[in-house]
Amino acid sequence: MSDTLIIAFGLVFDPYVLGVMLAAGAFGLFVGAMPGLTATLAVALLVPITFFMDPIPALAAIVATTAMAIFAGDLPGALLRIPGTPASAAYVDDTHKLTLQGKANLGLGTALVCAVIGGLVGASILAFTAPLLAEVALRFSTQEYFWLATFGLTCAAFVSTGKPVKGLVSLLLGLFIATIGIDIMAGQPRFTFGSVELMGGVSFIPAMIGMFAISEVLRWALGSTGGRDKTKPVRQATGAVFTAVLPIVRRYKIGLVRGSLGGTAIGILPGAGADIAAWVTYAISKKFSKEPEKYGTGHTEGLVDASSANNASLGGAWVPALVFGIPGDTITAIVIGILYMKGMNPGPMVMLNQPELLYAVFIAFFVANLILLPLGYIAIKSYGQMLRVPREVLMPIILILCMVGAFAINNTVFGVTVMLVLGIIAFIMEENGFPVAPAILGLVLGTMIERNFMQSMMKADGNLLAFFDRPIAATLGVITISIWVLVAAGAIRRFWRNRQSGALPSSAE
Amino acid sequence: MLRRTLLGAAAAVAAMGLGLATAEAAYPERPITIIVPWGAGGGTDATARILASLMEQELGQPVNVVNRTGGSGVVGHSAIATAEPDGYTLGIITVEIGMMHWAGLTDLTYEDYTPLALYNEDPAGVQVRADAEWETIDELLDFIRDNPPGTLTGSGTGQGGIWHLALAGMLQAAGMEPDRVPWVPSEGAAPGLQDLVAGGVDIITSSVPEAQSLIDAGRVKSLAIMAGERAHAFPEVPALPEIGVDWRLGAWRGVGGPVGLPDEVVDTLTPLIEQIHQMDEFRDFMEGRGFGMVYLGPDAYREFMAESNEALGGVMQELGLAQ
Amino acid sequence: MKFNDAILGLVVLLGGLAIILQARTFPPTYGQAYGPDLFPTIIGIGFVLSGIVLVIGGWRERQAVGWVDFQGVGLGRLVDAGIVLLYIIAFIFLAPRLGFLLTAGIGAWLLMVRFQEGRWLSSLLIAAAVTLAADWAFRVLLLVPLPQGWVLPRLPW
Repeated sequence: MSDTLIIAFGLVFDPYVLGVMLAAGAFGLFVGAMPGLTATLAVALLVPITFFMDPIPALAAIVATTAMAIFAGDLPGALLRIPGTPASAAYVDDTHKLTLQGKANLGLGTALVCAVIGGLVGASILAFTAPLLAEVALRFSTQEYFWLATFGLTCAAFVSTGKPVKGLVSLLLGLFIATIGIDIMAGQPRFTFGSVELMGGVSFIPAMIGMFAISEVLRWALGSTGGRDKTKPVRQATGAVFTAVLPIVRRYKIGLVRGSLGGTAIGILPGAGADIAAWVTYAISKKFSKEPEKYGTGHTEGLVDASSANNASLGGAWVPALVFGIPGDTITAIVIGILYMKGMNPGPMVMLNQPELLYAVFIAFFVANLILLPLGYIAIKSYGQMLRVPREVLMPIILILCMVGAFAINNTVFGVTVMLVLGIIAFIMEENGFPVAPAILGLVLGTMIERNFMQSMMKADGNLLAFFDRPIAATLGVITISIWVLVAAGAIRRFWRNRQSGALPSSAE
Repeated sequence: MLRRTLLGAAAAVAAMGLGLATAEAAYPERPITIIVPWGAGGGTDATARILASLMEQELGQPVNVVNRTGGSGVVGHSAIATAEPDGYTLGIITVEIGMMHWAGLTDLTYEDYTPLALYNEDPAGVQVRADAEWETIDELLDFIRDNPPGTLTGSGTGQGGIWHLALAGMLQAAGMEPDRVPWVPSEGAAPGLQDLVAGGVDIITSSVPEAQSLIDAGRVKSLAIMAGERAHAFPEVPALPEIGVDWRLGAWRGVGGPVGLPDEVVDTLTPLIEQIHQMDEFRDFMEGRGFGMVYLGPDAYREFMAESNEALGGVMQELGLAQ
Repeated sequence: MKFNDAILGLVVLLGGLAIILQARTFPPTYGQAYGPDLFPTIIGIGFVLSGIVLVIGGWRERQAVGWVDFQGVGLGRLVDAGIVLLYIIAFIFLAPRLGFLLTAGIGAWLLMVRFQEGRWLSSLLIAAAVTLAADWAFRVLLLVPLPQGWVLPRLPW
């Protein structure tokens, strides 16, 4: 094993490989910082280039690109409230409000440092336990995934703000949008109204751009928030990027550990990636925080958890991909294709014949996260210059980027239509106190919940007890239901207390 | 950026060096897009990407692969059919073109395309967990026959997809009712295989190459393929006719464009794809992954699609999957 | 633009009913206990119940809140928001015909002129530069096939 490790180190610490990683990292930063362009797209664009490379630099390029792209998604999120990738959406309100308070460098610095730490932790864990973890992930069938997704949905209760009923409406909206398109279970078109484009469903990316960016532009145009004439737009980003971050990291070190471990664990499961990792860890962080009311108002605590989690989750998806040839997410699906093109069939044969490959990937993750520190620093500094551009000029530019981003997901203007419609809906929702976060969560998890529920029921011929007849499923089910009971009990207790305290003055009347 | 420029230059030099037929024709003078109706990372996507890379190398123009997924293939196939017939938007047409319209999902048929070349066909296989009690396809079919319906479940694609048809057709050919093994729809072969290993389902009737890495891992075994004879790449897996079950079904992939592609385009691309089909890079890739290599030119491909369409329609009607 | 919860509740309630009605037309999956209508129906019921809660709550506070509150948004601001929406709609319909460069460029120019109150020359320069840069970055570097349209010739890069 140590020999393999040394060989793997030699493979990665090669000037050519490191050069490729640096270039790929800069590319990943650029793509991730564009609203709507995902880490997956960045990797897909690398495919024709990696075709001419050896396996190790090819894989290292992909690793570097994804690690940078996920962090870079925080940049437009913080500065413009437009998350660059879905994985940044969970904490966009916090980073953006920090920017409005003139603390852009604090927010982004925290995100950067936590992303680096999360990535390093994830890579180290995976390097030593990959085969074992892959074994556990393979035990997950539809029942387990159903409970996992349902647990994810519970997080909506924690990320939601304002009146609970409005959070519920928002969640239901996200779930409803997820049902549009051809239902995979029955092959039945639902809510498509004869549109071929809608048969493919509502893509997550244009929906997200619309709900965050377009609603933000509309709000600015109407002058209702962000102050078009009240205050002069955004204050300059001040303060050093790193020095202020250290106390925060020290203060929320538990969150850092929680986020890194949680992100790694979620990443290993096929079908759950960086976006779900960010949402779930953000919600857990808020649940256990001493000051949950500060979440979403420019608080760094949830940021610590979630930004370490989304980078930590990246490595996880590579485990089932390399060990069993099962893609953990869309990025690793492309990776598997590239490996095949190189004549290497992912699976245990790779582990037997070229064990250094798996270690090289995790070392590449390690290196990529170290490169992220200086590259991210430069990106924060230069991206901050955008704040100098007057909003009158910036907003039309943002609109162009949003339209191109929504277009690029499927290369049709239909994506732009989706963006427009959901942008208007999200604008009306936010104006009236409906939180947007639960809708995004519903959109992410809706298909997963429904599909796994239906699949399980088809296997069990409609017997609901099937959700408890496998040991892992039963455990997950009991945990999820206990959380529901606790949340419900807490809500009832609060309601009761409010009623009593509200009843006292009225009885004195 | 520099890398891309360098690559472009390299490709251009390569094209000049090989002295290709492109010299006499103006087409293509700008990048070509290949629409893939299935997701990135799948078999169709992988074959399209290698094809595109080699076309790019030969034509000296970028050939971009664009995934237009969703709607059980309807979205991507309709995007190919409705594209501008100028030769700059082509697509991968898959076996589903002969299924979707029978299922009532779309009006599109194979007649809505200009066929260029068929390049791949893979028969369905019968995969079970490696530690399953059945060692042969006979034992498996006997087990299904001797136990009540619903004892075993199958998966590997969506409801009414090609592998669902494969399972139902095999059961019927073996003298059983086609829904004796209920179908659990999945998003594709890979999630289905994962569920097989996790113990969620019992049979996956995907093609053998899709299960290759798990077969190598000793997690899955293939009991049969639904073809006339054994496959070149998997000589140890018997074909169904060997045990007296007369049933064959496969998935195929080909290149095509919208109706009315100019002759210039067809005349440039047809010999090019045939040439790529002979190239070592392409052969190595296809054989490395176990993809079946076939080649049919435009006319033969059109005839092939017509036959496939009729055959699939007949089976779907018999199985109650057609509208 | 703030509406009374009762108005939005009514929209949510009617939307929920529409979803339930539409879901009833989905054919059941043969031989299965649950069909494609199950989840939409549950979601629809959720919408209806939430809608009722919102209507009741909004009705109670109708005196305090009123029905619609424009929060002092003037006509000029409404026009601003309107042209933002118009820009996106114009892109959806015109970009496939006129191409990305013309549609996005002219739209961004008009928007900047409007927002900056005049200054058409600097706006023109910025809009042109941004559109060309976006075209280059996305079409050439990121291989996004932006709509070409019939008007302008393809740029040489």
